[in-house]
Amino acid sequence: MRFWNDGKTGDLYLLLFNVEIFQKPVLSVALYVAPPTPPLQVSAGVVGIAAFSPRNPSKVVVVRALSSAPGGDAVEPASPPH
Amino acid sequence: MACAVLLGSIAPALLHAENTSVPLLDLLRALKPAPNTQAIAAREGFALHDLQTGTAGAKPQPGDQVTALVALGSLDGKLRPSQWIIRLKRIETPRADSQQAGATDLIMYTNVGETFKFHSDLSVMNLETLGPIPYDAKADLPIKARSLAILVNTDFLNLDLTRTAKALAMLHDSPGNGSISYALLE
Repeated sequence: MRFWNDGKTGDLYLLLFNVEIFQKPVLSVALYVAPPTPPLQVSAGVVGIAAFSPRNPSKVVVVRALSSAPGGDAVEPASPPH
Repeated sequence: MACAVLLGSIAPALLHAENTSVPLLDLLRALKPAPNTQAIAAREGFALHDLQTGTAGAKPQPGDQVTALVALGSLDGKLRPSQWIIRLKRIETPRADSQQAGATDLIMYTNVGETFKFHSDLSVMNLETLGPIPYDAKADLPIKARSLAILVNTDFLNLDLTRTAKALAMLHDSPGNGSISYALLE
């Protein structure tokens, strides 16, 4: 599938689960996961997290991976498009 | 005192991200760094573009890094909260001699004489945070990145949650299967 909005492709899966306490949902978490190939291995392949309260889903704490780069002799991230 | 608490359940809406009607993917795509967040991040040496997915078979190496944006979002896109930038950077990979501090071996013996050894390594990483950056902050906001060295178990890094997602999606799609749940006891 298209990866984000930059035209790249790659497998991306959505893993959605609820955290319940005493059988009542208190937190919904969505993990956006890709294969943990370097350099994404440093985040275990997690490229996004969204967490929200099931009672108030309008506000969401979001973590979105914006950049990744391999180390060693690999090239640094390219210049942003203009 | 021991007590049983249902910690979580796997929702049946476990889908390939491309096919889901849940707006969460759009929400994630819509989250972008504010203009001055980009300026401050660039000033502090954080790259906020070019997410490289890597290739199968690539080996981890020092310097591998992922930079992410953390913020409070809203489904209507009207919220303009403070933002954080975090960067995880591998400092060193586990040594091959398995003598690294913190490395452990789980050794299991069978009653037919076989021995199974499960090695667990630690990777040294650098966690940097930059923020909070108010959405309407000025580009010359005097804010510096904070850095912390952490140890991360490589078992977690190699977990490959996509396999979990694929397996659960197959279970979910199989006929006659409603939801899947699990319980943890503590």
